[in-house]
Amino acid sequence: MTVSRSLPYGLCLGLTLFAGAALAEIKVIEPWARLQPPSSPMSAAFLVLENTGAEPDALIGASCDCAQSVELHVMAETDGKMTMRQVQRFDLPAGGRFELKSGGPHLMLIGLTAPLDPAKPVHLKLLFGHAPEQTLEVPVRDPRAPAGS
Amino acid sequence: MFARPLVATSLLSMAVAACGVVPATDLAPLPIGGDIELTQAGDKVFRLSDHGSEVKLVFFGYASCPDVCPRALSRVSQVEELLGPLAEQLLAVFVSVDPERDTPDHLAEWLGFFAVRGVGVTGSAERVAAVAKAYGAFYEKKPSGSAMGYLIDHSTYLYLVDRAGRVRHLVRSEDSPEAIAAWVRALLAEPS
Repeated sequence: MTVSRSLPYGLCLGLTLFAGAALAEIKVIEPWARLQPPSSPMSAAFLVLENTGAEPDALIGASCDCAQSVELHVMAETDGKMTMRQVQRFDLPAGGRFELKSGGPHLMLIGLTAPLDPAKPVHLKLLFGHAPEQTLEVPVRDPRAPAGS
Repeated sequence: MFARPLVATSLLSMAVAACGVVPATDLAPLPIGGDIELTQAGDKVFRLSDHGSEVKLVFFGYASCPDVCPRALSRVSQVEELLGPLAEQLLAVFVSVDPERDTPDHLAEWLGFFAVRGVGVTGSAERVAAVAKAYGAFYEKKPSGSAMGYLIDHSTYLYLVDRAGRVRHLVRSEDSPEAIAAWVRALLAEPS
């Protein structure tokens, strides 16, 4: 009797622990989107991702209330030539840090639904391979302002 | 055979970078470039040779470019700030390699947004290609599955052009605004 009553609890606890171990934890640091000239249909968003979990994970997609679509892009500069291309994922090794920054990997905001406004943060949803999705309030930063402001 | 001078040069540039000193650069004219005749805002003809009283920074890009081009414009804007009143003798020339999507008016808005004293120019695909070829600038349209339709890989150099219209230096993206301002000053100090 005792065994049969505690079994479901034990099972639940076990499942919870298992689920907890399987979920990678992703910390998002300092997200921001770039203010662009009003007629520009595109912008880019940058942030730092830290996988604090014990399992590898990946950023596999994103969306924004500010744009028709959001794509993962990488850039590489060699011999004065910049190439940009779309990728399907940004890998986040366990304990690793991945920086999306100006001049490097970034989230491309395509088809802005309205000009970005420094007074109005946008909402960015990040989808991961394992970790739960996260919706962030992302400030719009004016690239002309001094760094750090 | 070339390894030792290369190492010495690298060490020197590292030392220079560490001291925050702008390196002396050979600004001898390069065998590239030439006059540019394209269209600017208001459907007016732009000729580089009409700007003989200014030093020019010519660069190739496109307005849908979300990062490289804003960065280039921000740098030019920083250079202008460093130059102070001399900035009136510097003209940025943004050549769009995407005439399909960019209009000169659109480019003018970009320059205005970054408060850059400059002009945005473009033209037919053939004319733009001829200008890019003369400057040795690379660009390539890359069809993609992206919602952007296509992306454009392109040169990131800023071409430093003197008052006589000769290319004097290829400014790389790692060159500081201070270094660029020093080169512009050097060219402005030359007898015109």
